[in-house]
Amino acid sequence: MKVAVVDDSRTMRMIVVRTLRQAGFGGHEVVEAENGREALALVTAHEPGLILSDWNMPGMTGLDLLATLRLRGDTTPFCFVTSEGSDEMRERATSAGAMGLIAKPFTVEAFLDVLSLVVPL
Amino acid sequence: MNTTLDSRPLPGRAVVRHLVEDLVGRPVELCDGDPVPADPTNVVAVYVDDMLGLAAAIVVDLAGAARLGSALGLLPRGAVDDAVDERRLSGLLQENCYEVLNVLAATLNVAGAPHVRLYEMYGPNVSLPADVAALAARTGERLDVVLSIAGYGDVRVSVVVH
Repeated sequence: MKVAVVDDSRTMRMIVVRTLRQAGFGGHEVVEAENGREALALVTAHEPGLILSDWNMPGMTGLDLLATLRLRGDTTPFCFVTSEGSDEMRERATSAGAMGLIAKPFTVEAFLDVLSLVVPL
Repeated sequence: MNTTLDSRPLPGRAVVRHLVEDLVGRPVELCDGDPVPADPTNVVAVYVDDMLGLAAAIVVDLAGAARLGSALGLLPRGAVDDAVDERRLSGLLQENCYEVLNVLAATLNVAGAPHVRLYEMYGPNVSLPADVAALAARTGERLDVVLSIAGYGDVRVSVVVH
């Protein structure tokens, strides 16, 4: 399975990938994009089984990315990895069709809790 | 019942310390510090609410900004020395410091207060808009601390809320 990691910070993408590996999901191929617009092309080209996306990004936000994907009928499991960890933002994420929200800074356990239902180890 | 706050509270010292500690994955100590001036040698992050109203500012000294960026990216400490010598942040240090300041928005988003997000990071060597400079220089609602990141050193931080 491919996992798409979308974040405008390359260091944060690196940390997300490292945490995926530490959580036991290291066997999956990772593809990366630095904003929502890039991610749309990435999803079309690679058809990932999971999208992990930041919320606030220049160009196209993670929320806009999710809305665009759902409008296209794309139901790829989508999880935010973001500093937006308030109840209100979690509700917005879920309403928009996200399977979950992992707040930065995150732990290996947070990845396991949210992702173990959709990502095989 | 939802309660709306009249003003945004300052983030707690422990909240700031724990967030940075969790983010960089190293022990972080916190003690009181002096206000960090929002002058062109330092880094200033501006936070806005959903109506783009100025909500808060965080000022970090240049060496501290380099330390935050280095610690996040596990970069060698030499990158900090280079930043101080050159009085600028390299591309990756700048990007990493931005990310830390982006995540620090979480300390400003408390229940009952309007949602805020990082809008812009200025500096070093960039002129500040007058309203941002005025906010950063306020003497009232502010938190002035020194964060000591194990293996990297001190980061002088001032948080000012509108």
